[in-house]
Amino acid sequence: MAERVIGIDLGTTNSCVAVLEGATPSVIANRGGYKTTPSVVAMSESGKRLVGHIAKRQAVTNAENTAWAVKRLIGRPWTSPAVQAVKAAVPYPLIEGPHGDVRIRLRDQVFSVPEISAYVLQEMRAIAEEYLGQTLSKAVVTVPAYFNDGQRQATKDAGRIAGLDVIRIINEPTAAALAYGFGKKIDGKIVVFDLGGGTFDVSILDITNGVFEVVATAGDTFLGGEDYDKRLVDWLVQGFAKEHKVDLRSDTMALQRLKDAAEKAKCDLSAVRETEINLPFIISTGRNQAFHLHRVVTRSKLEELTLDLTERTIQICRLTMEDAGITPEDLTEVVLVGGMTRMCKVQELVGEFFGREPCKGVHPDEVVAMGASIQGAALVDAAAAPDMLLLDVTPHSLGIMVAGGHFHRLIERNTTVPTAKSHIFTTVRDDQTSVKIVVFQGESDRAEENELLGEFVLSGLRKATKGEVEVEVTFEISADGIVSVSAQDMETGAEQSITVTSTSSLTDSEIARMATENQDHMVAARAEEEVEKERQRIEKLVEEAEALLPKVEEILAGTPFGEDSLDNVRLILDDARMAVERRDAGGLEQVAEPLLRTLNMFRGVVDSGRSRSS
Amino acid sequence: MPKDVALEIRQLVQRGFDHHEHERVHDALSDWETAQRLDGRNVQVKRLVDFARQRVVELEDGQHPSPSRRDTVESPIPQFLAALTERRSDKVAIPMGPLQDGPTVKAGIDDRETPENDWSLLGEPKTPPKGSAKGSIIRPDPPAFRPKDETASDTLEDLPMDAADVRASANELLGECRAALNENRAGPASLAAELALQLAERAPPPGVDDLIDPAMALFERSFRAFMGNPHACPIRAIPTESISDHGLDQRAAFLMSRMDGMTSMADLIDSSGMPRFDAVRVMASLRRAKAIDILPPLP
Repeated sequence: MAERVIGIDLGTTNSCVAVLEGATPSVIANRGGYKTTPSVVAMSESGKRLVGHIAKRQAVTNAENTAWAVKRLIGRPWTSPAVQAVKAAVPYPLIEGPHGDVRIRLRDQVFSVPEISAYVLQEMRAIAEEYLGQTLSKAVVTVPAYFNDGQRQATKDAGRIAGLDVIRIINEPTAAALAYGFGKKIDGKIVVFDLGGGTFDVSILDITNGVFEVVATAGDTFLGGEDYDKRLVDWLVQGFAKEHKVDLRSDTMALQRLKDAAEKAKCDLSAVRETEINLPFIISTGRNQAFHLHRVVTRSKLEELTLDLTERTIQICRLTMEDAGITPEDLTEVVLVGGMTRMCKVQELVGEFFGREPCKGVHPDEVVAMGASIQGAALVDAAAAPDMLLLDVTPHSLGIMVAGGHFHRLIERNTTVPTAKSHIFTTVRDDQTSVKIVVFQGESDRAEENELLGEFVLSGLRKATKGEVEVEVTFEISADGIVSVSAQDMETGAEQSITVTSTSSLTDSEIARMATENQDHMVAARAEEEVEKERQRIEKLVEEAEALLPKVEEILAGTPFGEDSLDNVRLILDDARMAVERRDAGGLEQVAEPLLRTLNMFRGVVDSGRSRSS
Repeated sequence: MPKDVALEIRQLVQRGFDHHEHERVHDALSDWETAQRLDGRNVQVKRLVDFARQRVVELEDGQHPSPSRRDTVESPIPQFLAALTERRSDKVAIPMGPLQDGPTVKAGIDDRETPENDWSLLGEPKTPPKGSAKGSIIRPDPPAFRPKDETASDTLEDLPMDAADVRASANELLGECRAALNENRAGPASLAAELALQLAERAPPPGVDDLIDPAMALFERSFRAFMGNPHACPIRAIPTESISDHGLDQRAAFLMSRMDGMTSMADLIDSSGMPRFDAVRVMASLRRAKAIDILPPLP
């Protein structure tokens, strides 16, 4: 049997894991029964690493040590405008890494962005392993369609640090369409409208005879459910301030409760027309005056507070459709992805814009992971998804910088991958013996306005008049979207190439070190768990022995061997108590056997005492 | 959308918690049993059903305190502070130690094991009958020693305490705490720690920080010992609205709002965002006020 491959939707705010069971993709719930897990990692005061729900639930009270939405940072260089925008918006400290990359400081430790993502991937893997009862090592991970090469590579690095072999990176809208179309015959153009917790993406896919092609994609990386929550929180804070003259934002615990309650109310309002937010003892003043927050929120109030946000998504859809030259009539389906699309107003506006009812056959927050699991199964076992072929497109144009700082495109955006394109360039100076190939990604004609992916030098060119020496530059993009660039001297055949790993990614040795450290951390955590289990076992034995001790003392009182034996037993119990209190692994091991012997002796004495008296 | 069983289970679990904190144990059991029927493999739900069934049995056997008894749980702390006030103004000696009947003011820690200290993971600690000295820290309900103005007694500057008395009391409490912990009596140790801290917080200048600061580790050990298994999971046993009746504040309300029956005490403390010591202390206060019940750790 082929090894199982899990599909992971590594989201900005939530992540989800699925596996193909038989012919059905199943989303796996975590221990709390939730099918999505917050993509949040925190470091507690005691230095414990918190991942998922527990990390999210302390994100406000421990804001400086809680990393969230790191997907907005992954694979981006420190100087990128997106990083600077995130830096201004998040409370956790970002610092520049040794390769011009982004690092995150949580308490006294500094982490690379892929490391933080790795902890989330690891959590998803653990959820799947617990459910399936087997060790898993292969995964398909999804990324937004607009992710560039560096971001894709960094996501793969995160997988490696988590001990996962990421056998394929696929685009989120592609995965959604795959899950939506799995087991049924779909042909035509579909729109994937993905409004998640932190980002919005819209993609148009063309599906023909089982071939999925992303023909256009756009979005806003700073628009999602959290913005909706924030509107509701602001409204509650303002209302409270008006009523009590107290600013809830001044108290992190109050704000944390408010944020949690606002998110819950928002979710509830997708199913009911009004809901209550009841937060007793939300804050107290210096004079020990306690305040309670009690407010009724209606669906229409929430819609009113957030209408501009929903309308912004529609505006992006409009631009994307125009850009792709597609009208709503050309579409066959509208697929909703992301928890926010459960909101009635979102569904209503999407339906109005596209002129059709969005399909509701799949859970919006599970569909991407389901698609990834289908792709994963197909990669290791073609029979799992017959006739399935995935064709993605590159979301950005790729090219090199030429004389005058201009950007020469070799691969236009929305070109289907895998692909390869070549172009012949000439030297621009007399006697030029080397050329510097600077690779960019983007849409601007000015190279410097695009994103730098990497650079290399081809040297040893023949000295000649400018324009005489020809160099062929070839770009290749693999099915994973990973870019390789090569340059060849047409005369001598000399060649230089790079696999673009972006200027911001980690080196191999760094990834290996991080993976080892992560492994060590897991081993230590497991060992800690074992010690804790043993501590609990010994604690129970001590409790039982202590409960029997008075009876034993009574029975043995006056007997010739009683006092000596009891002194010895008390020493054993003291040692055991100390080992329990100190959580000392060696001590626990040492006391286990004599303690058990003592307890058996106690049981025997008490039993014999009982039978004597009866 | 397709039916979401996981969501339905979560809602039933939550509704069960609401019933439970309002002492509607049968309703809680009914909701959790419904959830169990939806997913028989769910360990979390099974644990809740077992817990509620045991609680129902206890109720039927009369072992479990009724809501009214639960409501009568009083914090001994205001009385202790009131006693100090009395000691200063009336020059009445306050013997620290086992309580006795009679009019003398007591401000000691009961050094006997009390039902309160038997913290069974699934059981509700027994509340001593009202008026009985056994199991009390301070003789319950001593009208003579109640602060005359309860609002004023909550603020440090209004407490007319004598620095020497406070110092002596702090020393005695430290001794009590250490001795109780050494004798494995977590309840009294934890209460002595709490009283000492409250005393230090309200002490008139120059204060007793020089005594209290070195004892912080001892206090934390006492609170932790009192809390028991750090992997056990607390759930709310009273509505958050009523916590002020138990002398608790918004930090306690915050911790209670995090309790979902799955998050262990250790994780709650770690994720509270409060300094660890404060979180452990508040958790111990919740336990002392019987504001929480404890579920066994998740397997």
